[in-house]
Amino acid sequence: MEGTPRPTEDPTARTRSLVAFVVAAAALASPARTATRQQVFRGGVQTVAVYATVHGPDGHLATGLAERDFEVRDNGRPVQLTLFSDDVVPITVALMLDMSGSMMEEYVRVRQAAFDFVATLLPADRLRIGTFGTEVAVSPLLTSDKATLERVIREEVWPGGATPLWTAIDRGMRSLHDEPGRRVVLALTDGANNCTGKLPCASFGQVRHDAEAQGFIVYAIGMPHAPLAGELVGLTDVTGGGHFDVAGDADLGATFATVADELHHQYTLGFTPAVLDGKVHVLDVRVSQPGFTARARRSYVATADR
Amino acid sequence: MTRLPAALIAALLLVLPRSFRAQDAAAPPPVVLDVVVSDANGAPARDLGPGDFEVLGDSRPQAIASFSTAAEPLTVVFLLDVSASAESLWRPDAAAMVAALGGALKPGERARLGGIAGHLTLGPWTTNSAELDRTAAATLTPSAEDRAGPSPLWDAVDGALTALATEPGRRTIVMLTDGLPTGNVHGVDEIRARAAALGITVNVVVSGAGLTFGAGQLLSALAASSGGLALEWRPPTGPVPNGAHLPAAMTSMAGYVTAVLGRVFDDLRTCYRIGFVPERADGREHAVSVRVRQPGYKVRTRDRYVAATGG
Repeated sequence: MEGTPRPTEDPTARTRSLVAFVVAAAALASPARTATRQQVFRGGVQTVAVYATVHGPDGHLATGLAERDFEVRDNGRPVQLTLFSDDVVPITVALMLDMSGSMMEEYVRVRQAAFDFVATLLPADRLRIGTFGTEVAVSPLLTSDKATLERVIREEVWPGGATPLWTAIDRGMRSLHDEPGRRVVLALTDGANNCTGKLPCASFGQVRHDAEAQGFIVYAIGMPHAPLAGELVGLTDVTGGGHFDVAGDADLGATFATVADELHHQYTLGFTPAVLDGKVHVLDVRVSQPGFTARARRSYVATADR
Repeated sequence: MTRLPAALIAALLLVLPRSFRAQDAAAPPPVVLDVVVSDANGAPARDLGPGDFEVLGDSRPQAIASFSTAAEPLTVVFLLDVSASAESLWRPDAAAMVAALGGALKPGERARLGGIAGHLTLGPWTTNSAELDRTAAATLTPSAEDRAGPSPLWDAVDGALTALATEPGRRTIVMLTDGLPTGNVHGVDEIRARAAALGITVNVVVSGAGLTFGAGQLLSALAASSGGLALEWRPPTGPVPNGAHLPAAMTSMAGYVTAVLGRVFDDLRTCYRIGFVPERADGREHAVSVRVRQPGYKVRTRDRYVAATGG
């Protein structure tokens, strides 16, 4: 029953709860904050935020599900949701475009896809554009202004160099470190990590650790001539993101639009952890409806606020 | 000539329409253009007079209000792209590059070095090679983090424009880069407008990406709009046969830059300074162009000005 809206017990309370969540998340956006991004504290209560993407049996995005349709397990134990929303929540994205030498022939196509992605943004979404190749270059501008983003694409996306993939994702995450709300790194690449000696290189292990600990969502799009490598696919899985291999001359812009659509239709779930033991907890998000599948991050660190 | 009594002048001022006096008080400040002219052979043309020039503001002829050929000292910012992508192009010649700048300065002229990496690092004002040598290492050695990128070329030019904005006389920027701008706050159109409004020429030497593709076209347009030059240096791929294609100095990047600085500086020191009074003091940007009435001459000057408000 994909997309069938169900009345909730108290929609007003839900909205209030979401507003409180967003406000609390914004209040946490201070430089003093540490790697406990996913933990939201309000009135002494800690909430772990989980963003879930749900697909129905037909493979399409499932919208209109209710809180009762979800089951969240923390280290195997079901938890009571203290927050639920299917409202569209603005996204904050670092788009990292692989501009290594091997992308030379795809250059025009990638630029056009980036323009298409900008076109899909909602007014409150914010995007930062970065490239990786000879250098890892992240725009200082994180903005909703489409004209500015289009200017960055026109003037600052240039091909050449190697593929410092992990460094690029690391830089993308760092560029969003102090931002509130959902933080997404979307990487478009045509190859495995290849970081040359000129750059300070991040490792896959470091990137995965930081992404999980800080609650980043990682998406990846692979170009036709080089499907995504296993480690990158794994990273998208554990962070609750998604991965897409573009087939042949398929519309790359459509793939970007799919990512945007997913992000705009995620469910926001929250719960209060039973213990704050400082350990990594395994998360499991399921939908009770037959044939529905949920993607969400698979762990969080149960750390108390300092 | 009969002199009007002061009392009569005062009386006339009182009876003149208020709008006339206001208009008089708000007469637009003159716009002064640095105009470099070369003849059909590419040699500097330095013997022209005011009658040889035609100035067009917003495509309309403008009366030349001032004209000078007097040499003036320069104030220079020399920007080197020290990001990882560009550094290898010139790092072996770093000392020679700095020496080229010092050697190109004349008494009374000043220069600042700038290193472009993740951020722009501007050195102090200097007047000679010895001062440049002392400050070059600190200016041109970025942190490992900065060195990895990005390469905010537009922001670097903006920083250089700010450094030169309050300087007197003839001002110019020379930027050496591999030609791939990234990580900028400012866009190139914004920088083009600011350079032209300030009357500061921007010259670009590119090695690597070239001037005909993508970013190179943006760099060329920036230089042209300001009245500057965009040049490309390519390392010789093999022995230069008998120096037939390149003078010996041109077979190294430092040699090429030495030649470029010499030309750019000489062009600017000895250029024509042509002034005109714009029709309106509206604070807006206007197109401007300068032509030599006789055929065969090439003219470089900025392509816009801001009609500053008078008063």
